Amino acid sequence: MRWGAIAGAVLVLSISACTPPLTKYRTDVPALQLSVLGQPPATDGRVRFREIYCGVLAADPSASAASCDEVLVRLSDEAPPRSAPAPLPAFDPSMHILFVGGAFGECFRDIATPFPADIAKLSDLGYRIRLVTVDGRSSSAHNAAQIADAVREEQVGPGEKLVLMGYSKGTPDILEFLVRNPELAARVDAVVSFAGAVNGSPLGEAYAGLYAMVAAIDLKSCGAGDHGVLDSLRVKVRTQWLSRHRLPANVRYFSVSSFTVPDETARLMFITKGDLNRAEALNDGQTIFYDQLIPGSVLLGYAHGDHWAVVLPLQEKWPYWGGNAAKTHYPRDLLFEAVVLYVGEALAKPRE
Amino acid sequence: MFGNRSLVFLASVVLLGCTASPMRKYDLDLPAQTMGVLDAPEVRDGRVRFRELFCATLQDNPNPKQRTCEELLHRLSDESPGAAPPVALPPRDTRLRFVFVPGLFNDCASVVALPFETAVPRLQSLGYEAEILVVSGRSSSTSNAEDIAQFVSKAAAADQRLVLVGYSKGAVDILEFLVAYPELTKRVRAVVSVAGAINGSALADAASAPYDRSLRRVSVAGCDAGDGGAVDSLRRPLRLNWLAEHRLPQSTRYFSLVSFTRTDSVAGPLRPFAAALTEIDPRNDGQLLFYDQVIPGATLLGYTNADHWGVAVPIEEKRPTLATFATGHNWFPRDALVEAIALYLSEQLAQEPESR
Repeated sequence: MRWGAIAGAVLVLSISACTPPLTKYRTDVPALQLSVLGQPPATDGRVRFREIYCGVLAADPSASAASCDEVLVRLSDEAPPRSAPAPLPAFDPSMHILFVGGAFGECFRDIATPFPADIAKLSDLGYRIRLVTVDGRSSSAHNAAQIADAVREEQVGPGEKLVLMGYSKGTPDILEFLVRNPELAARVDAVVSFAGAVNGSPLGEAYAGLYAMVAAIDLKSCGAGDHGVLDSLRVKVRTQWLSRHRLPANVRYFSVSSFTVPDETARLMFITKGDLNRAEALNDGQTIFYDQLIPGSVLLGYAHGDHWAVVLPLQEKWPYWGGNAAKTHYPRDLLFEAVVLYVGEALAKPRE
Repeated sequence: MFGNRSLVFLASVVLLGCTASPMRKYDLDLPAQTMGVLDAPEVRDGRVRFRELFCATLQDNPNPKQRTCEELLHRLSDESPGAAPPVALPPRDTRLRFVFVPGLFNDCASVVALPFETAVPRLQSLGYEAEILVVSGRSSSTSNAEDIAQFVSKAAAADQRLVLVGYSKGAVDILEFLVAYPELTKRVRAVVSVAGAINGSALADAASAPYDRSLRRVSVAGCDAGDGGAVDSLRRPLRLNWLAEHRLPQSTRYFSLVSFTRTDSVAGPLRPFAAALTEIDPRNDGQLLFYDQVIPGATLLGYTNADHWGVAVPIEEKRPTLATFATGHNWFPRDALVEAIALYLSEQLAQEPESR
């Protein structure tokens, strides 16, 4: 009888194990970070960021349809809202922002400009915002040198702040820049990551070999670079890099993560979304939520959008392939504005 | 809009990306990793010294398969090379009292073998006090925490250094005990997790509903149904939320030993589980992923090249026929492993004051 019970238990559990995928989309889990040893953990800035993002959304008539909880996922460990939220911070045009785009961004720069509306608005308010030209198909080590050139050129006056913002692979490009150029890193006040491929992506692992077959093809819009774009996104490469380097302590780090459901993922990402769903359902079609946090960063929140939608206007430029079955549009410009306001407020205070 | 070359390029990137599963390959060329909640205490690295101790104890223990220490303990890319020559072995601290808390279904499977069943007499022969605290194999961690509390309240003598060693779910039973009974935690000098289900397992997420429907209330002799919450206690959302809501007491030291191996080296009955987990990460032991087995703030001892049973359950010694024909891949120098743990703790705890 006891042997039968053991066999029965093994059978029931075996059958359950044979029903892939094991992971389901669920938000009743806490924020998670996959870390290498010796790196500081991320901390929580979600409550204040939600206040700011909700305030920005509420103040914008064009975004009235989008509720805050729809565009910013609340995981189980996010503290409840404060009964009396602090008012929105004031704009701080003393901020210089250098924005670094992601993999293949150079190839699609004519249609894939990040946050176009809000960058124009904030520039009018006096913010100095510049898109750094980095190779779309080169390694992070290569692009780090291009970022170094941009930082060197940026004239930051006394009392002004220099903030580097990275999208997707742009984040590891920035992190490599910081470690390789400590004298320039000293000029940087903060780094913000949007859907950053901090730990790389399992897709980098899966696709690097296949990409190598076409890596040498030069395109009119973007050269082949050093061919290292996908290699730089491999989990193995990124986690080894993180295990061997410490990020400069003078810089403040902030992370915005993203993930969404399949119906709200761009149609062109259906294959990669399916691939990642087998490993972890909380992904944005390109990266997994627990891989997107910079060590020691403040987590601002989880944007409920796919990897492109949270930063690039592809839903509008490519309505079919960039759009999704649920026909949602992410209010990315307002996300950007909320991040700029949050970072301005955080930098005005001494580090905790 | 795009030229032919661009289309070929784009199609290659998008369509060639139809990958055969799994995306991640079994590979040791990556650093140690942990999955943690926000603001979790950092994990420390104890691998170099633990390797030295394990390699030394391996020489003094039977090694019929002649497997080397390098084969038995994975070396990931960020493990520092050891000192040459290794530092001398520390003296045994026989004031250490080891209490092993077994995992899921342990009482049901005791007819086969209990985790560390053969390691206990080995430790006793070396002068340590050691025993197995059999808790309900089918009850929740909350329920088993109560059993552990009862044991600890009676067990710890003033001159002893109590070490709780949790295997698999036993590790989370211990963590729940520590948080639920703060008045008793000071009696526990150290907690060691061996293949501990610290973050739970995706397998339990899939199995809890069918288990609840079919087996939860079935009770047989030697395999009491308990409160039925064992599998539920291992669900990842439950464990991760528990970790997000609680901080472990700092008066206790934590150590974690992780296990994983290739799917084709996993015991037959565990292989479907290993294959399912490989979709998430191939570095698993047939029940747990490697990055889910580390207690927050623990010292990482190492990665055993063993499956979930091999690292702790002496099936080969207790049921050789079963091991030969049904499970396979069960040999592992468990006695040497436990002896190395005891030596490592002897050394580490000797550096600390009597009361933390």
